[in-house]
Amino acid sequence: MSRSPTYATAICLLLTCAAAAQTSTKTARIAMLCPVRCTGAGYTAFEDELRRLGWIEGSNLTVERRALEGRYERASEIAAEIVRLRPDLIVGPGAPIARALKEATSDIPIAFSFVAHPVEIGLVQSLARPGHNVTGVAAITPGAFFVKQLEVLRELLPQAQRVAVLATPANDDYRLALSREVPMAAQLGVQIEVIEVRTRDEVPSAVDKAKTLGADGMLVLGDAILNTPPNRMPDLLAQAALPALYSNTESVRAGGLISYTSDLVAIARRHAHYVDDILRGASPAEMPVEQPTGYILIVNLKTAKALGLTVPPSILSQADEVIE
Amino acid sequence: MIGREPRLRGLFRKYFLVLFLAVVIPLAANGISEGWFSYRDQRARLDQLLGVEARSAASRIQGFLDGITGQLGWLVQLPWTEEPDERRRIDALRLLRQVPAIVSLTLIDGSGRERLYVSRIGLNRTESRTDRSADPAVLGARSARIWYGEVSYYRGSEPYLTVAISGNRPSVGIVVAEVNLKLIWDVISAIKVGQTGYAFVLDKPGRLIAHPDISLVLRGADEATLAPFQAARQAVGSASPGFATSRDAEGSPIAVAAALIPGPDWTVVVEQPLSEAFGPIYAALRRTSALLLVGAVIAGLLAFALARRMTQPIRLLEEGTERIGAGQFDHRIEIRTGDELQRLADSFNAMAAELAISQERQERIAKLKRFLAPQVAELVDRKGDDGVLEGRRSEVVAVFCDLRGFTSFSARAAPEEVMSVLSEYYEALGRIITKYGATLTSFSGDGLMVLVNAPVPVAEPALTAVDLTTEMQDTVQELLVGWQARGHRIGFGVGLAMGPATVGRIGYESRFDYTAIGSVVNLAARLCASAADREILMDEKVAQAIDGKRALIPLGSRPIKGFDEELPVFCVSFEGRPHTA
Repeated sequence: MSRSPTYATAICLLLTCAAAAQTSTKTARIAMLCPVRCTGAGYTAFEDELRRLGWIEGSNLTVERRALEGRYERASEIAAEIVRLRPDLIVGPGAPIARALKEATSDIPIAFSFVAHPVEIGLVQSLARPGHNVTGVAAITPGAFFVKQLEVLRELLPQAQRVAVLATPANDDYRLALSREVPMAAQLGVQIEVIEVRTRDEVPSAVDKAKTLGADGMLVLGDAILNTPPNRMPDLLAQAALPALYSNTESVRAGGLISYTSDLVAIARRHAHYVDDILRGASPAEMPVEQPTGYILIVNLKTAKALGLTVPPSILSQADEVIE
Repeated sequence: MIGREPRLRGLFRKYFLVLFLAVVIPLAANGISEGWFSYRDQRARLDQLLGVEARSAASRIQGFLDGITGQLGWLVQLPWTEEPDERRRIDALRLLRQVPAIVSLTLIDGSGRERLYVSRIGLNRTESRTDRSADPAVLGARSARIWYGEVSYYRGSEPYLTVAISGNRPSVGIVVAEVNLKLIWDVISAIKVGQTGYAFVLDKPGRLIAHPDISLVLRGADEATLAPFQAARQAVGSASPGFATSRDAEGSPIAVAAALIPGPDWTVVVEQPLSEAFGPIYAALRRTSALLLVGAVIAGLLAFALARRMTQPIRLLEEGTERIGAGQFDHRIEIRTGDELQRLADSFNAMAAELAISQERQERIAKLKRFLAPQVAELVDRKGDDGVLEGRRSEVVAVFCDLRGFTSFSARAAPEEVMSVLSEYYEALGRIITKYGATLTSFSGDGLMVLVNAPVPVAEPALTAVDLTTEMQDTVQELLVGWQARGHRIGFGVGLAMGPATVGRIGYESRFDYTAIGSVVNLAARLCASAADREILMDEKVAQAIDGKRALIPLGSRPIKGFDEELPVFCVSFEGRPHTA
């Protein structure tokens, strides 16, 4: 007789579970603010991983995509517009976007990615405990990565004296890295010429400027303004016959010389896990910011040959991928 | 009836309980013992299983570290020269590519100077020749070949381990590697204990190094996060070789077992929710309970059916006996159980049949008793047959008597007085009739008719009849004295005659009388009618039958109404008797 309440409880539990399952299958709405366009290998990997985690766009997931087309000055405006949509979560790739989103809302969870200094630019309190509505995946382990990239470029161009760096001033990550690491470049015996690029239209003139400045090589930072589409910079630099190191593997596959960067696809996939966890109820304040573990070196021997460069064995032995 | 009902219900309950318990107790005993043994078996199995899982997890983590140290071994094989070693640099860079977990490598020569530093994220250094001989890593590797440092958290989040390895001789130097322990995640997340169980790794001070939920690891040395893991390790540490129980971060009970990784002195703890670990036990218990329940229901139904089967005949018997007791002798108890109960029912039925016969006889006799002398009634009763009352021709003495002047008395006197006189009269006569074994066949008002020698034969009918009438006359005369004293003028006359007559029962259905038909009856009636007070008249046949045994006075021939010729009439002599009048 005493078992009938037990059965009743079990049935109630089952029903509750069923109800809970029901609510978790209800459609989640996420918004995405992209610096240029919401396309590319990173986005593909991100969406693919979301699908693998059971979030299928059009069935239980709707994605509101907003693209800035490289106009960072509009970031705050579009961020506010997105917040008004009241999505369950906002995806923000890149430091300028993550910052604009954080300023626009303090309650809608924000999952960032491709941010190098989340603590320094004030997105999170600490890596271990973000403390607010913002968390995500860091793009690099900060400290000396910019000079590390220079080191790789210098290994390929041992004679280089002057290296131009294309950077977007709107991106705090690059501002921070450059202000800290440009002095360190002296150790490598190269002079750094920082050329600021504010919009996409300024890119060709920036390349011309680098050429006029007599740069022996160029370092293209990872900002989407520079790397969308992936073949834009390689094409421009091929014309200018400037050897360059990219922070983006796709550009090398599209004709760039060499890239050394964290595994962006892996980061995009980890990013999807953050979205999944938050949509399933995890608190962003409690979710530590992950730093990348994998770094990828890709070298394009075809481009090297076109530029009349010989790739030393130290580079080849480090390379994860060699395009011949 | 009301008193018996609860007793019967009690009998049913008793049978039911006995039968029910007879099935359920062995069933329950079996179920409980089975449950207990399966619990013990499962505990032992779990002990073994979790122990194996912990050791296997430890060996996989050890395998991860061994993979790294194995790779590092390649860098400490050739002795250092004073020249910069480009080959070694490329080897080191290649190793970084090969082993993703290694963040940086420091190569130190035999004299403890740093010769090469390569990093994934920092600037490389070549031939810095910094003296590193006092480094704990260098000292450690020199004394123990493989040295594991303390786990440190990069920027308070990601766990790193410093590993140093020395070669087989001092001149090959030492390699110090920084290992990102986040990559153990690949190993640890692949370890599954049962369905939902998992493993995690704690270092010696109790910090979390690896956990399938990487975010717990990335929280660094967070006390609140670490507490349940440390508690789990504590629980296993204090328990004997097998598993221990603890609680996870959500407070749910878990079964934990641990194994040590001796190199870095870490502990691998495997845990499994207790609900899952004991799942088979719970399943067995649920199965046993379900079986018990089904068994109990079947036992209940069986006991109910059997108890009903057993009590139903008893109930029938009870009902039957009640009805028989209430006089329904034609009721028959129908029990076909083929056992003692049926025999009992059969004997009840036989008894009821007997009772029916007996009652029928009783009724008949009671009816007969009304017009038979008690002796006759007894006779009929004893013989169980009233065949004696069947119609036949017999030699009888018919006696008639009535009161003289009663009609005028009854017209004058009050009804109470009339009834009182009659009552005294019949009481006296009835006693005498009974005493002589005669049969009162009918009476009306003050007259009555008595038969002697039928239906019960008497040795000397005439003599008996004369004595009977004499005593009647005497008795009534005594009563007359009293009545006359009260002013009633009443007399008593008797007539009797002997001869053949047809005797038997006449009447219909419920009203039978015994009577005699024949001229002797008429004669006796006529003699009575002609008898004066105090007179007992009889015909010649009676007188002859007495044959001088009683004094008679012949009164000569008298004309009798209804008879063609005159008949000799005799009268009982009262000579020598005291006259009461």
